[in-house]
This record gives sequence, structure tokens and C-alpha cells, in this order.
Amino acid sequence: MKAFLGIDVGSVTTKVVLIDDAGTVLWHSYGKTQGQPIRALQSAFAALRRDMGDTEIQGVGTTGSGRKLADYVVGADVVKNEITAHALSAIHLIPNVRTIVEIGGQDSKLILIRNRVVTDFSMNTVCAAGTGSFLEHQAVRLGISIEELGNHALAASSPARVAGRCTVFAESDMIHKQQMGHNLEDIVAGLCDALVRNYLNNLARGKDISAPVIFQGGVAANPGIKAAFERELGQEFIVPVYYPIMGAIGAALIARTTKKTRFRGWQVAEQQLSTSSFYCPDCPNSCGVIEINNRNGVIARWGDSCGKWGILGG
Amino acid sequence: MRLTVPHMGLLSTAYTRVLRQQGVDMQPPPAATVKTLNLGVKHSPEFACLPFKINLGNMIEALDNGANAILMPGGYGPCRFGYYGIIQEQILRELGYQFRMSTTDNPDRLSDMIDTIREISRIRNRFDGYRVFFLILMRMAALDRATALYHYYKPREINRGDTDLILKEAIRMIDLADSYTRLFRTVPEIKRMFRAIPIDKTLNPVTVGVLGEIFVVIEPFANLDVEKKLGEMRVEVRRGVWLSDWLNDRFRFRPFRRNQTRYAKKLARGYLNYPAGGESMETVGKTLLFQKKGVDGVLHIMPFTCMPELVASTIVTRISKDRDYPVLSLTFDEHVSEANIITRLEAFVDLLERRRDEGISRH
Repeated sequence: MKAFLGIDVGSVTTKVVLIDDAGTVLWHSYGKTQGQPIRALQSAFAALRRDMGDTEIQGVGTTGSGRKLADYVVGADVVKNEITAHALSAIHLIPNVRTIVEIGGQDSKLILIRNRVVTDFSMNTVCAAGTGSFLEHQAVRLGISIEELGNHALAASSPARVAGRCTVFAESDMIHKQQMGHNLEDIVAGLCDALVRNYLNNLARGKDISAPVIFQGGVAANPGIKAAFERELGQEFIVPVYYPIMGAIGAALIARTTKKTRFRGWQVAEQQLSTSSFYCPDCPNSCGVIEINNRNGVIARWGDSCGKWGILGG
Repeated sequence: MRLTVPHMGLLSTAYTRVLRQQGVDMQPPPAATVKTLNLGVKHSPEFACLPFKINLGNMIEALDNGANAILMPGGYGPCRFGYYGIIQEQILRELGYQFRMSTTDNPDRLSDMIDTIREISRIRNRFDGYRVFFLILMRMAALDRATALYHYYKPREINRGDTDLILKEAIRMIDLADSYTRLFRTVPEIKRMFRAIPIDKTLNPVTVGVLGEIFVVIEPFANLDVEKKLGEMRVEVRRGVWLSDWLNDRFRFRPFRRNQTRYAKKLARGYLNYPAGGESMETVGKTLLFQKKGVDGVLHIMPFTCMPELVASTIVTRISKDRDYPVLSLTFDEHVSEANIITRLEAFVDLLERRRDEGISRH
């Protein structure tokens, strides 16, 4: 069987999907990156090979903050930014989509689409309030699992008003609300409301959010956030079945135009790869240079601004 | 007296050699690095803008290298910039540096500039002062010309990095061209060098107009080399702000040249009727001008806390909506995340390419 691979190495999770020519998802995996993107990728590949080892890979696309690293590890045909990848998969799924709300582990995006073309986008810049990492941190602090956070929020009767401008203040405000005697459900619901307000203030100011709206990324798993968005905007938020792997699907869709793939083959799961880094001492810029090594030595190097180290790829 | 002037793009390349020949002991600051930025950030008010911080870092590094006099443009400024020299002087004195500070009080008056040159050099004759000053302006124009050629050839180059090497060589050649005759010989030579770069002639790259606060636009260190990044994404940059234009607008150096800035200001009418400081009028007017000329989109860049460009940014967002014209605004300061900038640039370029494929933009 012939298929295309999409890889999304995010800050928190690593997603791998396999699609056919028509864009149907044949296989997918979703695992924690845990600060070790190469290992996360390799374990996903080991599982993929076990399940779909007889597939002929015809093209590979990578996306996410680790897209470049993933390219060096597996040999990609296209390396695409997350915004384009998310937009393409959403358009593929719902051709008349007009708005995409995407919230991942550490960043959030708003993408506007008209007539199947991206017309505008925004992305959080300075603050990670409202993203998955923060929600997870708060769930741990409240002693509930991230999966049930949303259901707790839905059970609230009168959501507490939590300050959402900044994650640090949101946390201290939540502690304050707990000490005032608000119950867990109301606080969690208040947190969801605060994060939605934060998102809308940072990304959606002056932007026309019109239906159909697709809500994707890991945080779309949280029905509390979805409900808070719908309350705030009075619009339905559609959560697609494959909401956490939409970026990877987008990368795979782009890879469909590949003529001859650069994919290194199934052995990427077993390669002995390690990364190391050093600060270049040659000028005061002290660029952090990153190296990927296999048994034979350095195979890729980047991170320098002058280009003297990046001989093996830029 | 060893004189230093903070960097602004390639400006120091235009004057250093010429002024040295006129007996000025020039000590240009070392090219800005992370160390420069850290020094500047450490000693600056937090909400001062990135140009202030880089300038202050330049001054500290130059003083540490033996400079004992600083020349800083100032006077009634286009923005807070007018006060920067005074504040920087105070900060440096508090740090214990001994030096002579001159701020040009009236930077828009050519005769004052000439007086400044006569003060610091051994030029006594007013005519010689003008001759030297015009040579500096011509050298600046040549540097801008080389940069514009770079913008054209960079996205088309076949061997990655060729164009960067040629630009470097062109800058070195202009630096050495220390007379009118040599400069007039050098410019055509530079054009030939760029034309010799192997390029992909079939490529019709997406074009992006780069506008915004002048320091951040012309100083690659301040904007994370955004023009090179665009070039590597196969985008042709059309820069809307040039140092030689800026000088020209002030001093009417070439009176017969069609003044695009004035035309842009006329276009801005209706959106912005009087200057809100800095390059706000240019940003608004040239956004409209770029759309008229069929440039695919505009990248608007500014330093964090820049008031004039913040005003312009709001208006540009409005223009973008009114006229269905793609604009990306990026803000730069010492906290900027390069990964975030790259992601947004790439997505913007994808957006422009898709629009072109769909026939939305005129081409």
C-alpha cells in the first residue's frame, strides 16, 4: 500500500499520521515529547512499523516547533510551519471553514479563511496563558487529571471570576478563590472562562470570527473551554474527530505532491542518534549551536547566525 | 579626540573612511552583537525602545575601546529619539565614563550638519564641508543601491549564499571608494558583480514591501535579519525605508528626483492627515503605494513601545481590511522569539503564494 506521512513535533506532544492519496487517515499516534523529540519520534516510528510496516511511504511532511529536527531525523520532503499545516487540514475536512481556533501545548493560533484561502492569522507572542501546558499545571495543582478538567467545568453552577491576563496572576487568583470557599467546579469553570477571554483579547481583537468555526489542537479535548468559547461568542465550535493531530494531517496532505521521497526508511526507528550543543566562542553573539550525531559523526548542525557551522544544512 | 557615533544600518560605512581622511579620529563601535544588546538592556530604562538600547550598547563598547567623544543625532526629534542623546549621556556619566558629548540640535538643517563636520575635522572652508558631506551621501546611496540589488538577486540565487557574499564584497568596495571618481567607477562594477550571480530566471517570486520604524528596518541585527530570511524563503523584498531617502528628504540633496515619500504622504491622506511622529506617514502612505504597485503584501516592523509606529499599525490594519491587502506586523525587542517570528513569516509567505495562485492579487 502507498501512503504519506505527516509528523508534527510540538512542544508538548509528538504526532505522527499516515494518510492515503485521498487524505483518509490510515494510522496515527499521539505521544508526549517530554523534551526528547528524537526519542518520541523513534518510538512513534517503531509503533508505525509494527502496525503498518508493509506500507510504501511516498512522501513525508513535518511541522511543529520541532519540524527542522524531525526533517533531519526522518528525511522530509516538505517542512511546513504550523499555521499553514493546520489551515490545510481544516480546509480539507470542512471546505467551507471560515475560522480555525487552534490551542496546543504552548501556543495558540487564530486563522481566518475565506474561499479556501488563509486571509489572516494571529499567534500568541509573549504569553502562554490559555495553552495546554498551563491547564495541565493547574489540573495537577487541583488534584484532578487533565482529561476530567473539562467535565468539572461543565458541572459548575456559578463560575468564579478568575483573572486571566497572566498565568501567574491567574494561579494566585485561583488560590485566593479556593481560600474564599468557592468549590472546585466553579473555579475550574472560571479558569476556562478566563483563558477564553485571554485568547480573545490577545489573538482575536478586531478579527471577524465567523462560522463555521473549527476548534482543534490538544486543548479542544476540554469541553469546558469549548463551552466557554461558545458562551462568549454565541457560536458553535466544531471539534473534528482528529482534533489533536490536525497539524500532522496538514503536513501529510502537503507531502502528497512529492515526486520522489527523501524518506530515510524504516530504520530511522533504530538509528543511534544523539544531540549535543555548544556555544560558539568566536564572537560575543555566543550562538548556541546544535549538533545531531549518529555513529559516524555529525550529520547536521544549526543554530549559528553567521553560517560558519551550519555547513550541513541551514 | 577619538570620536564615535552609534550605528544605524550601514551609515558608518558611508562616513568613517571619508571623515578619517579629513583628520577626524574615528572610532566606530564594533558591529552589534548579543553583548552590545545585553549592555544596552542592562543600563537602559525598560520601556525605552530597541534602538535606544542598541545605541547605548554601541556607545559603551566604543568608549571601552578608547573613544572619548560621542556624536549623537538629537534635537527636536521625530519621536522620543530627540531626547535619547541627553538620557544616554546621563546614563554613561553615572556609569563613570569620561567623554565629550555632542548632540546635533537641529538635524534637519544642512548648514548645521556642515558646521558639525567642520567642528570635528580639519576642514575650515565651508565649500569643502559641503563637498565631503555630499560624498558621504553618495556613498550612502551606493550602499542602498547595493542592498536593493541584493533584495532582487537573493530570492533568485541558485547557490545559496552567493548573493550574501557579493553584498559583503560590494560594501567593502564602496568603503574603499573614497573619492567621487572612485565611487562612480565602483557602482557599475558592483552591478556587474550582482549580474554575474547564477540565478533562476524562471522564478517569479512573491514580493513583500518592508516598512516601519527606520532603525529596525535598516539594521539587520535589530530585525533578526528579516530581509535575508525572506530572501531565503524565495521572497523579493521591496524595502520602503532607505537611509539615503531619509537624508535626501531632509536635505533636498537631489532636488529633481521624484520624491516618493512626498507622494506616499499624499496617498496617506484620508487615513492619516498629519504626521504622528517617526515614519508613521511613510508607513501608512507606502502601504497604499505598495498595493498600487502590485506588491503582494506588506511586512510592517517596529520596536516594542514605539508610539508612532503603533499608531501607524492600527491604521495599516484598517487599510488591510478595507482594501483586502495582506499586512503582517512584527514587533521587535530583546525578548523576541526567533522561532515565533520564523513561523509567522513562513505562514505569511504561504498566504501570499496561495493568494497569487488563486488570482486574488494582481499579477
